[in-house]
Amino acid sequence: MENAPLATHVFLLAVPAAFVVGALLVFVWGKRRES
Amino acid sequence: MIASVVAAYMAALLVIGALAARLTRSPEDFFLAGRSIGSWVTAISSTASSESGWVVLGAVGMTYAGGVSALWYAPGCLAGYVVNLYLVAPRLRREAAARGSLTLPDFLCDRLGDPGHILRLASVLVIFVSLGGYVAAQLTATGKAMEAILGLPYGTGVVAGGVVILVYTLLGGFRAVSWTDFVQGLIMVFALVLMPLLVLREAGGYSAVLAALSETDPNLTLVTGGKTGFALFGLVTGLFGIGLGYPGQPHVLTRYMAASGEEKIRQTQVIALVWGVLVFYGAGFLGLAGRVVLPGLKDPEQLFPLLSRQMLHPLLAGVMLAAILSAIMSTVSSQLLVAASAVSRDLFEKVFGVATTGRASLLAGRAAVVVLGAAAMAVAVGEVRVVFWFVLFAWSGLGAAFGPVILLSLWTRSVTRWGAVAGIATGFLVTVLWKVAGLSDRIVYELVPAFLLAGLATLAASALDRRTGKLA
Repeated sequence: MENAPLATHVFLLAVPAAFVVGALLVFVWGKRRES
Repeated sequence: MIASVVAAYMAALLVIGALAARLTRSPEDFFLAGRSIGSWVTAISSTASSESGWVVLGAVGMTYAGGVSALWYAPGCLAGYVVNLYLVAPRLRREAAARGSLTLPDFLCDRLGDPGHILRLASVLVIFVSLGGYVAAQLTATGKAMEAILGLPYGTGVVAGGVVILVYTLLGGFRAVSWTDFVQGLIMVFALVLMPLLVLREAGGYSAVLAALSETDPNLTLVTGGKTGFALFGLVTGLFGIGLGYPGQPHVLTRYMAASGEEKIRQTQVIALVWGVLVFYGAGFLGLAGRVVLPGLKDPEQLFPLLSRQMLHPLLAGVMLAAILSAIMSTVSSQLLVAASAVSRDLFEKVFGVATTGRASLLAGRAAVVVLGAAAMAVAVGEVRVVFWFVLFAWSGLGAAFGPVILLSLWTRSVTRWGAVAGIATGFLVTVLWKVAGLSDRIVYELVPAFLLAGLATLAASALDRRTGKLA
């Protein structure tokens, strides 16, 4: 992982993961609020 | 073998069109599938129709050439998805269903009132100018893809692809377009997950790809691309700014209007975002790893078809190439239907007051699809260059014209009919003028200033309208 700066790894791996996790959290929150 | 896969794919599209035709009996069926679309089809058809051949060819080529920093388009487009899915889709579906709106101009006019048809005419003009050229350009891309994939003469490829699209859109209307887009979206995501994984493995894995890129040029592995100051600002705003276009694309927004319920929209949000992450980052990783596996390409946009042919069994290569056609065709059919609805529903039915009965409206919708589709094919076969000039600002023109107006109309009570007209006109005109003046290359991507100015114009003209009673 030392082949690129930390920002690159965050940009390539953490950012897309954040979109997916965020979408799932909002979905679960919506379900809970509904019930 | 490759030709057989592509032929089977085309035949499947026609079968879907025929099945959808059996359920298409009213204008609401033809233009909005009777508001009965489920979450999977809403999610994947909306995203597939918004991503043209650009994502499988252009985005791959861009990251191949520019490295990690070119991937700024991915969070930008996903931010656009978030705005559409969370801020636009739920309210738009609810309000369009409550008011019985079938098209985007319908929704704006039903919500803001439009006794003189000015708002409807302005909307139709922008949609028609932007999407008409866009459809012809996408058919050109279909012909070129057929030429590259199957070796068909260019004109034959345009007509073969165009006729298939025309037939299924004509038969099954919105339902056929949504179902085929769904299948096409699944093929796209399959291709853009499998291919990058195979190429990454070939290149030695994630770390090895970054190491090899860094060895070629350290800037290829930096999120800034080695740029600083205004150049960096231009790069990031330009690529990130692509996402501003999403809330203004009529062929995407109508998918939300057709969803069968509120609950379906919530599921749609998750499915669409996961699809987007896989497709955008899949295309990006394919470009990055492809540069290591196949360096020195003159035309990086050919990376995907070239690697498919080199690395895969002909059956799988056929599927990959069907993914390229899918990306293009899903966009064409959606845009063709929206352009046709602008003519038949908005212009003839609402403005001129003809073809107002259910049967006549359905017939007018189908006739508009045939006429526009045939005209677009003729333009594509003849390669009428002037039409392709409109395509240069179709995405940004629609995004800036409708995006701010839709968002402000859904989230505030401040927008009036004249405010919306001012916003649509400002968004479209600023896009064209900014582009023509060459400011997109020198300062920033035209959508960014056009979107902001259109928002300001909408609010300012609405405030003036309310204060003075009527602007006219």
